[in-house]
Formats: sequence, structure tokens, C-alpha cells
Amino acid sequence: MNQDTNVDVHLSTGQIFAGKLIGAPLVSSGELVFTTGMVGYSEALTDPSYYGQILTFTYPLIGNYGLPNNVLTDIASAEFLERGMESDKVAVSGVLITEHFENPAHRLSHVNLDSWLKKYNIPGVVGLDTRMITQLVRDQGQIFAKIIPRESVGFIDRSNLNFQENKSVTDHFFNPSDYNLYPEVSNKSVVEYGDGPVLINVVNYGVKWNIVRELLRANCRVRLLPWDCNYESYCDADGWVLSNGPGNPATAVDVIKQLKNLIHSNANIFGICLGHQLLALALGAQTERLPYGHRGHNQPVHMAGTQQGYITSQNHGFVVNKNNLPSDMEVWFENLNDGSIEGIRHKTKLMRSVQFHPEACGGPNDTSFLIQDFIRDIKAKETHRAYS
Amino acid sequence: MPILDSLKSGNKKILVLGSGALTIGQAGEFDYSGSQAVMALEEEGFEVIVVNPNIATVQTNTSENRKVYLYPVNAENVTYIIEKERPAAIIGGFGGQTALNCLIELEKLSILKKYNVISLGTPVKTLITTEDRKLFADKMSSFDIKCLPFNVYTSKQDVQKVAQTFDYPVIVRSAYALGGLGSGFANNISEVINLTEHALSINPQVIIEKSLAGWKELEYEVMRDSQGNTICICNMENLDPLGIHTGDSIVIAPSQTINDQEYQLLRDVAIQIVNKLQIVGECNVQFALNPESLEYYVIEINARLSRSSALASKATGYPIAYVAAKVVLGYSLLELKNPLTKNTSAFFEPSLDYVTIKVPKWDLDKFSGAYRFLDSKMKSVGEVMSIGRTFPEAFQKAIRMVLEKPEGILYSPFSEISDAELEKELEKATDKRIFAVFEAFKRKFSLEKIFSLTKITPWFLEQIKLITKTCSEVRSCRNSNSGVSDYEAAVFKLDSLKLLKWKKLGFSDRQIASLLSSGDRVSALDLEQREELVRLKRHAFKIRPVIKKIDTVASEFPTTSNYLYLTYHGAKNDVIPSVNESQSFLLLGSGPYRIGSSVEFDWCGVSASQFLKKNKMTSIVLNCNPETVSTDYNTSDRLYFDEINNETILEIYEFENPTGVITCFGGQLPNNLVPSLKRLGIRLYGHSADAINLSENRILFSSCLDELGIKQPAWVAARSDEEIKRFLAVSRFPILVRPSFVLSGTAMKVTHDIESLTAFISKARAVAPDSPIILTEFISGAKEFEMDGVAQSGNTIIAIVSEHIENAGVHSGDATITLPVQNKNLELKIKEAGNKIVQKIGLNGPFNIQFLVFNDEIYVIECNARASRSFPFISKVIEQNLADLAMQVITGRTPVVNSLIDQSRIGVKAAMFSFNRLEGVDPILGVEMASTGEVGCVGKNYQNVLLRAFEATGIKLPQKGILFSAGPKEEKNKFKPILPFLKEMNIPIFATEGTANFLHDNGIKCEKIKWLDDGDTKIISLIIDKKVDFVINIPKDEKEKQLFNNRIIRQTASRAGCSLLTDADKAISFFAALATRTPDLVPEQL
Repeated sequence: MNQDTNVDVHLSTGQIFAGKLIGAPLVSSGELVFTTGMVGYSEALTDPSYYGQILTFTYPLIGNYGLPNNVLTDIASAEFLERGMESDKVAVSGVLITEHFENPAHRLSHVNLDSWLKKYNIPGVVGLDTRMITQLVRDQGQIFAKIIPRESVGFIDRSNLNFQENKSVTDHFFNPSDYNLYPEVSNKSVVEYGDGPVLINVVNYGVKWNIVRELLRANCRVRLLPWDCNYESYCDADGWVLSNGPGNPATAVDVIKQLKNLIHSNANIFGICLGHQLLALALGAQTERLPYGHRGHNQPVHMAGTQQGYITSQNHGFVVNKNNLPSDMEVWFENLNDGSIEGIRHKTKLMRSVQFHPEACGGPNDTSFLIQDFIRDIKAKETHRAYS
Repeated sequence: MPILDSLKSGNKKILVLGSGALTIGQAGEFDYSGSQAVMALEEEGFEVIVVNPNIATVQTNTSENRKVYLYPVNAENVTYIIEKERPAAIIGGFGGQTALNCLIELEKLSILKKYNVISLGTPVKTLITTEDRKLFADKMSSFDIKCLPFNVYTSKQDVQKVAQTFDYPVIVRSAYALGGLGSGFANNISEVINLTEHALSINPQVIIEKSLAGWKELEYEVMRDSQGNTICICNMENLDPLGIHTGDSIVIAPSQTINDQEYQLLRDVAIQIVNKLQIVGECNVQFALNPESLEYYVIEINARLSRSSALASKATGYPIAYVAAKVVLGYSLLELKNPLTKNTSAFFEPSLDYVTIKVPKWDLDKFSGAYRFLDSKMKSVGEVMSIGRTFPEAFQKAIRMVLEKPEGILYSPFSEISDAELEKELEKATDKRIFAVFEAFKRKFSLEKIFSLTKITPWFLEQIKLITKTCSEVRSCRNSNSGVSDYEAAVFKLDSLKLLKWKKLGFSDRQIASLLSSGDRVSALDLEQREELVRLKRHAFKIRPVIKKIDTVASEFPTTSNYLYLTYHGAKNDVIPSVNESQSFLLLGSGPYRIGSSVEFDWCGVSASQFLKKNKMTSIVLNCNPETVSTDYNTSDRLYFDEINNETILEIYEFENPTGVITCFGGQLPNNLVPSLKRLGIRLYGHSADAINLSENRILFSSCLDELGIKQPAWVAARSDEEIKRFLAVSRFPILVRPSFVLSGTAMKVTHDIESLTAFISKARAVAPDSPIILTEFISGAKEFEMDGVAQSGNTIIAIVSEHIENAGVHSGDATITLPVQNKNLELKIKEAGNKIVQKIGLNGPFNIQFLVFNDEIYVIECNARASRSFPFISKVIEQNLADLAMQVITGRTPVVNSLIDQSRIGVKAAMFSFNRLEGVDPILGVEMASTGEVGCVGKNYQNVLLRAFEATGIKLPQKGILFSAGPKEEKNKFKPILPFLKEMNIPIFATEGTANFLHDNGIKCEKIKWLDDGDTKIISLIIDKKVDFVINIPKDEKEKQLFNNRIIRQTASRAGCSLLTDADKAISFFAALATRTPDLVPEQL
């Protein structure tokens, strides 16, 4: 079908789709992923877990309520606490959508999607059958895409990773799993927020801001640690949160080593998404690829030993393998659709993690109580210790 | 599953309350929820007892494990049925407000306790809280949830005292009411007092609250199981800002203009409410959201299946009623599977990768004098839902669906009015406001201006603006500037990019043809040919819609769903054509419910689809009405939820290549498409296009009758004044006038003299200047009969004659119909005439023929070559499914007819009116259909069946007093036989002058009351003060004064909820039945 098009999307499986360009006229490639969330596009696009990925929205209309203010410097400012952005920049390498809306009129909207993507030097493509693309991704497991504007002015900047994009349509796709991406998404030096009585270290593997917000709401002092700092030097904290982030967890050998020590020190630990997988690996478990990744705001999980289910926000293709959990760990949550592990916890220690996103943004807040519970349990443990 | 287990161990009977006749505010959606609930219960091995007088529903079909009681749903009847059946449990959450009110009443009367019946679902105590706004608001504030601030008053005086302190505008509404009945907006003290008075005439409590006009209105559909697991299945956003009843709002799902934070905030609150109230099953939560902040209010909740939950079910594909029924039995959502995917959990929230738009169908044109302004009182009688991948695509579809005309957004009722008038149309919403918005953009009003007048969220306005702009773009492809003056040349020169863009914006081929024809005088047939050219061009460019699935999971994983729609925003079909070794058929649905076409046709469609499935043929259903069972996920093998028009049918037909297309079960809408479908070369099954034409074309039909020697009322299709004169010279008044052939007609009228005839003709010419005007001699005092049946190649294989209680002149859809006919000789003569017609026309399928009988002469009025609205009624009375028989014929099988019909089974079908919701309308019966629904009761005793049917349509026994105006002399005399009974009843009778004299002359005591125009308002206060609860008011004549006098009485009676009878024959049948009945000892099941 002939279309009024000016950009092509090439897939590693050979398909080519033509569309219209929005955002920056740059060549960009990455792993092709999708999300089925119907709201929360600004949260998704700024979620560092998507670093190096080209994100397809199954919901066809994106940009309806505009984009929030894009100059966010002070993480403790009012704009930070107001939701909308999950990091200070667009994390994805490209966006594929069916239709975008040019004149948003929401009270919090500052710009439209096109201008916003331009500002962050990220290309987007509209006019695509994103349902069909989603099915391709779903059925192929892992595929890569390259966005090639017909009148491109350059390439997306990956100099930090020593990767130079090119216009080849048959190979040379950026595969985020081949790189250590934490330097790209983590902070360079320690930053502290809040002044609550409980000190929590958040190890930043690509943290979503709402994890920090939730901790501040739980009246914590948050110390945001660079992914590669010496964890032992910060063992004065009351608890540790291992953040979400991009990439294949199995390749993060150094991090896993540090986490093993942390586990031995009996630290109170809460892992989220990638943090959950890193914790599991450090405990001796293994991760594997899911046949169908969990990519949306509607994932049902069941809390083991209860009759309770929760709807969660998820974005992952890897999962902790059930078969070799250490004996002192137990399954905490399970996915109601495919039975995969959604959370694990230590039988006696305050050490737990979840595959989903209790901090939501976007998606349902049904499990945000888990973060509050973690802080509550830290406090209870300390009170207990003080009296015993 | 504690409840389930305890039930299964012993008594397996569960009683399910239905919703009764379709009315404004409570319509076909409850057949959807009711039948899904029953299906879910039957699946679990329960014996289901349905109480619902709505005979035309799928829910009231009997089965091995289902008993049906066609009784009015109220505490008295249900107690009576409980006593007989002794069910273990009762379910009231699937039959709308009627069922809920009945359940609350049963609880209050301790009936459930007395008979040890468990109420399944949300606890009745909770229901009482949610139904009383004050209790609800108090409860919510105890949880820190914000409800709209409001106050409850019980007298006009109380309101008067504080009226100056209100923060105007305010909303006035009565508590415990269907669809906001008796409510409205008040801008000042006098308006508030008026509305209070009105509301208090219906209900002892009136609620006055702050108006949040301009806020966004959003709804969430929540389901909770008894273990406390809660999901939010769908959220919806109203295009119309707060203030217009959600049933009258254009609604889009999912929400479009709120961000994640707002979405989750309202979702969290909705879930919190449902958890705090311990709701079990489905709940709808309505919110007002301030567009300028995160401020919100809970407007109301409905702790039951509702219109919105039916819509949400169709919008998401998640079978809400089915799952809710399982949850109500005690299942946890965690142990149930999603029926659409079959292998994933029912505990999840559907993700949509498309948009759905609901547009209400008002049909106010059918009610002369109806007040058109939309407010917190619902007025619409039906709705459509459209599906697309963008707003313009879905919106354009929806507008075409709801208009049932191909022009869609090109319909321009406001093209002639001034800018100032247009601004008024924008400011005060009516049933046509969306066309005012189009008109305003056409006139280049700024978006800001339209926004400030309508308060429609700019996102929606931007889309409408884009559609309007594109109309001009299409038009500009044919003008002198572009050097293309010829239509064919313009189409020839279209470029594919533009055409694809227009299709993506939802323009139909017909609309493109029409826009390219601007300025030409084109007939409908020409336009159809021009449409064909656009289609050929489009097909040559290979611009075809793709078929996408609704799978609840946005294709995150593969599903077996067969729920489909068409879109131009796609590159790949989700399905391949259905394959069947036997035959496959495309069944056309009936479209939106409206006056004259309602749930009866859906019943026919469902029966036809079930027939195909049962016989291992493939059933492909096309329909666009979310309130139906035909659009349920398991009614057909394939469901196309899309437009019922040539273009869509052809695309589906070419894709699926079915054995044929069946049009005769969807009422007039699909039947009207037959000629063009035939021209398109589509294989039609059932009646031939020629047979349909023979029966629908007046002239051809008339000459058929002449050839057969069957009488018909004298008529003429007059184009000139000369022809009219010639007709009048040989005919007598009254004369029925109508512009051209239309179903349950617009602008149809009985005229009694030359003045009214001339006046009407000039009006009719304004509607359709080119078509001939049809004048028919109207036979006063004639009895009306109908013959419904099935024919095979011109042979009638079954025919059932039924009789109207009202004399001819009352539309057959409004009449009370009884079966079997008492006069067997007459029945035989009617059948004889009918069979001749069937043979002459060569009918092959379901049909309906209407007769008049006057002085023993039989006249034929019309023949419908399709299933009629009586089909479910007749099928259930005679215990043979006529739709099923018709399908046997249509699919070429040898029909198995049981000629032994149990003559002792008596059926009465009565019409349900919604006049109390339509301000300004005179609640009388006439040649134009006005009823919104019907009931049908069946039993052995005529009197009891008739009274039951009347009770189910709101005509209850008089208890306080009767207000009587018996109309003209000949009507008065008809009442003579029942007068002794009236006397015996010993109830105060108030009568207007002539009637009082008539009663006195016949020895009946009564109080004479002055007419209103005599300056005395006592007649009105009698009604308002509830001194009378039964009003008989027979229209007298067409004189302005008489009309006014009677209209006010009828309107007041209707608003006050009195039993109102305006037809002498109907009134007499009621009292005669009452006088001679012996009540049944036990309730009769169907």
C-alpha cells in the first residue's frame, strides 16, 4: 500500500514498514519491544529500563494529553514529585506508534510528542500497524529494529558505548544485551534526598523516579548510589532497594558479586524488576527468557499462600527460573497467566524482591504497599532488636 | 467457593430477577447481562428460575434447566413464585434497577428470611446504602472519599427556605429513580422550585446538589469477588461534559484525555469504594474530574450490571456479566479463566488497542412535542458502539450507525440557521448537538469559541475539526479550480494517498461520492452508482480495510477470540477467512434499538445464529449494538462488530466468501439494504429481492392484491394537487397521510378534514419534497389482525393469526395483541387471504401480514417480508421457534412443523411506554409508534394473562381513585358494559363534565371536575396530590382546546406515575378482565 511516508522501519527479521517521522530525523536501532499500557506513555518513554530499545505502543493513540515539562533538574522539586517523568530524559532509542496527537490541551502538557522527542534527539515513527508489529515481536521472541528516516541528518549518539549506527538494513542492529548499560542510566556520584528517620540505599541500575518518590512518601532518607560504587562503604543504611534497569541481568557479573556480599551481611533488601533478577542470581538462582514477555499494566499476580491477587505493571522478558531457588528462599508471587515467578522472599530474613513494578508509573498502584511494608518491617525489626 | 458448595449439596434452584419491558433508562443491556448470567448458572448445573415478563428476550427462553415466569418483577409476584418454587438463592444484580428495587423490597419485607432464600452477590444492606445518596455520601465521607456535596429535602417548603443559599446552577433529582428520572438543572430559585415539585410528585425525596458543569465525566467498571480480589475492567470518558446523563452522552472507551496519574487516581478510588462496601460482583463508579486540578467527586455508583457495564463488556471483549455471575456464586476471580483467551486468568484488566465510541440513539423525532434539551434525565432509547483504531475512524462509523443513513456527519440539520442560533445550539445540548459542532467548524468558528460554548474537551473538538476540514478537502477535488468538473473525472483523478487518508479518517465510499457530487442533483440510486465508482477506484488502489481482533490483551499473547472489526489503520488481517465444510452465513443484525426496532429482532438474530451453530454451519454475525445478545462472544462463530451498510457488508462478504447473506431477521434496517446488496451481486438467502420488492413497494403490492381479489383500504400515491383532489372525490375522511414508505413512519397522520389534510401535506412536502404523498382511507372502528409465519417457496408452512385489542389506528407496535384468535371462522378467512399473498409474492422465509376487519370484510394493510417483532412472542406462546423454522427453510432443509398447537395457551403482548421520561410529549396512542418496549404473558386464563401483561407495563389496579374522561359519545358508549363493575369497585371516581353526566345517567356516582381551561386547577391537583392513581383519558377531537385540556391531564398523570389508559378498547378490556377473573392459585410458568 502506497503511503505518504518519509521513514522506514527495518526489522532484523527482514520486514520493512514505512511510516511518517516524528521527533529527531536520526537513524537509530535497538531491540524491538512493546507495551500494552493504555496510559502512561511519558512514564514509559523515560523509563531507563527501556534503554537501547525501540518501544512500540499497542495503544494506537499516543500523545493525547501531551508531555510534561521537560526541564527537570532538581530531583526534590515539586515537578519531580508530580508524576509524569521517570528519569530526566527519553530512555528509549525510538518509538513506533499508530497515531500521535499534535495539539494536546491537558493542564500539565507543555509540548507535543513530536517536539518532545526532537528535544531529546530520539526518532519516532507514526502510521504503523503496531498490532501487527506486536505480534511479530511476540512470536519471534527477540527481534531488532532500525529506524531510517529517508532524509536523516545523522545517527543517534551511542559514542559512550562505542557503537556507531549505520544505514545497513540487514545487520548491525544495536543489541542492548551486548553492553553494560548501567553507566548510561545510573548516577555518577552519590545523591541524597529527604531527611526521614529511615535511611535507604537505592542502588541505581536505571531507577524509575517513582521508586524514590515512594520511599520519600514513606518518610525515608534516600541515598541514591551509583551502580558500581563499593556497596560495603554504605552499609550504615537501614535497608537497600535494588532498582529496575535495562539489559540482561546474567551479564552483570561484578554487581552480582557485590550483592553476594551484601546478602552475607544480612542487609535488609528489596529488589524491583532487574533488582529482583540480580538478587536471585546473587542467591544462586538462574534467569531465563519467557516465551511471551510481560509488557503492560494489566499483569495478574497471586501472593503465595493467600487468596489475594494484584494487578501489576510489568516490563520484562527475563524471568527467574523456578527450579533452582535456594532452599532458604520461597516464591512470594506468581503470575496467574503463565505461573512464572513474580516475587521471592527469604524464609527468615528481611530480603525480598518482585519482578513487577510496585512503584507503578505508569500502571496500577495496587502493590505500592509493598514498599511501605518493607520500610515498616525494617522499623519493626529495629524496634525488636532494641528491646531484645 | 463456600456459597456454591452449600448450594450444590442440596437445593439447586436459583431465582434470577429480570428487568421487565424495555424503557428509557433500562433497555436491552439487561438481556445481555441476564442471559449471560443464566448461561453461567446453567453451566454450573443449577436449575434457574427466571422472573421477567419480557418475552422477547433470550433470557426468557426456556431450557432443560431453566423455568421462566413471565411475571411483572415486583415483591408481590416474586413472593408468590418463591412460595411455589422454594429456590435456595436469589440473584438481583443482573436485572437493572427493577430487579434491585425488588430485591431490596423482598429483604425489607423479610420474605427472603421467611423462605430461607440466600441473596447472592452484593449484600442487600450494601445495596440499600448505595441506592440512598445520603447514606452513600455519609459512608464515603467516613472513608475520606469525596462525594458531590448535596442535600436531601422532602417538601417544597424546605427547599423554598434555603433556595437563595444555593450555589447555582444546581441539579435537582429524585432519589431511587431509573436513569435520573425526574431530574434537571436549575439556574435560579423559580426553576429549583418547579423541579422540586416535579421530583416530589414521583418520589418522596428530592436531592439538590452543586452542578459541576464543564468537569470531565469518567466511569470505571469494577469487579470484586468475595475474597476481595478487585479488577477494573474498563474506564470510559464522556465526550459530553458533566451534566448530561451518561446514558445520553457520547462515550469513548478507554479514556482519551486523562494521564496516568488521573487514570490511576480514579481507579484507586473506584477500587477502594468497592472494597470498602464489600461489593461482590460488578459495580459501576461514576466520577467528575476537574480538568484544572486533581480534584474529583464520586457522582454515583451502581452496584449491579448496568448499561455501562454492558458497553464495557462489548468495548473490551471481557464478558463481564458471565464472569460476574460466576463470582456471585462464590468463585474467586483467581480461579476463573478469561473466556476470550480461554487459557489466561479472568483476574486481569483488558488492554485495548483500539477505541470504541458509544453514541446514543434518541429517536426524539418520533415524539411530537418532545423537549429536546439533554440534561440529567435520560432520553435516548438505544445506542450504537463503533470500533476503530483512531477517534475519527470510530466516530464517523458511530454517526453513520446511529443515523441509520449513509450520510453520517454530512447530515446537516443546522445549515439554514443563523450564527447566533447556532451558538445557542452549541450551548444547550440537544440530541443533535454533535451536528451543531460540525456546522460550527464548517462556518470556521474557532475551537476556543466552540469549547467555551460546549465545554467539550478540546481533544475531541480537534478531531471533529479535522474531519470537517477533510470534508472541504474532498470537495475541492472536484471544482473548476482543479479543472475537474465532471464527477467521473474527479474520481478517476483521485490519488491513492488522499483516498487512503480519507478512509483512515473514517469517510465511507458513499460520503466521498457525496462530497465529490456537491452541487449536483443526484438521486439515491445515482449516488449508489457514484459510490460504486469510488469503491472501484479504491479497490484498484488496493485500499482495503484490515480485519482486527478484539482479544482483551492487545495481542500480548495469542487468543482464540472471534470478535472482529474493520479498520483502515492496519497492514495485516488478524484472521483468515472462516472455513466450513458445510455452509456459512453472514447474518445481518438490527442495529441500534429504537422505536419500532428493538430486542425482538435481536432475539430473532440470536435464534438464527444458534440454529447455524447447532447444525454445524458457520454463523457470522454483523451488528453494531452493544446492548444485544447477538454481539455476545459466544453467540456466533464470528462476530463483526461494525457498520451494517453496503460497503462494510461487501468487504466482509468478499473476505469471508460465505454461502450467503441473511437479511430477514434484523428488522427493516437490513431488509432495506436488499436491493443494493442484490445489485452488488451478493448471494442473498431467504426471500428473493424481487419478493421483498413486491411486498414493500406499495404500487406493486397493491396490484398483487387486486389480482388476488383481496381488499385493501383505498389509497393513492399522489404527486400533484390534482391527484389529491381526485382521490378525495371518491374517498371519505378520516384519511391517513404519509410522505413515502417508511417504517413506523415519520410524519404520518390521520386527518379528519380538508384543513388538517392540507396543513399536513405541506409539512410532509418539506420533509421529502420529491417523493409522492400517500393518502389512505382510514377505516374507523376496524379490528386489526396480524398473521405471522414462515413460507417455503410460496407455501405457508406455518401461520399464526393474532388479534389487536385496540381498534385500527393504534400502531401495531403499540397495540395489545392476543393469541389465539377467538373467532375461528375469521381466523380461517384471514389465513386463506394470507396464504394467497404468500404464494403470489413467492415468499421464502419469515413474514408478517397485517389485516383490518370491518363489517366482516377483510382488508390487507401491509406485508413484511421479514421476521416481525411478534416472532418471539408467538414462538413462545405456540412453543415453536419461528426463527428456527425460517432458518430451516432458508438453509434449504425440510422444515419440521408441529401442526398441533395447544389452543389453551393464551398469550397477551402489551406495549411499554416511556412517556414519563419525555417531557412535552402527549402520551397518547396513534398511527406512529411510540412504545419503547413490550411484555408478553402466557397462561391458561385470558383475564389473568391480560392483567399480568398490563401490570408489567405499569397499569396497576386503581386503589385511591379514578379520573375519568371517556372522550366522544361513541367511545363513551363503549364503556357501558363495564360500568356495573366500576360501581362495584367502590373507588372514588372523578369525571370531567360530559363523562360525569354520562356516568350519572347510567347510575354511577362520581364527582364532576372542571376542565383546566375553565380556570380551575383542581383536576391537576387531584393527580399531584395522589387523590387518584388511575387515569382514563380518551382523546376527544383535534380541536386545540380539547387537545390542551386532555394533554395536560395525560402528561401530569404520566409524570406522577399514575396508571394511564388513553384507548377505550384497551381500558374496557382491562376492567372487563378485572370484573370476570378468578385469580390463579399458583403462578404459571412459561
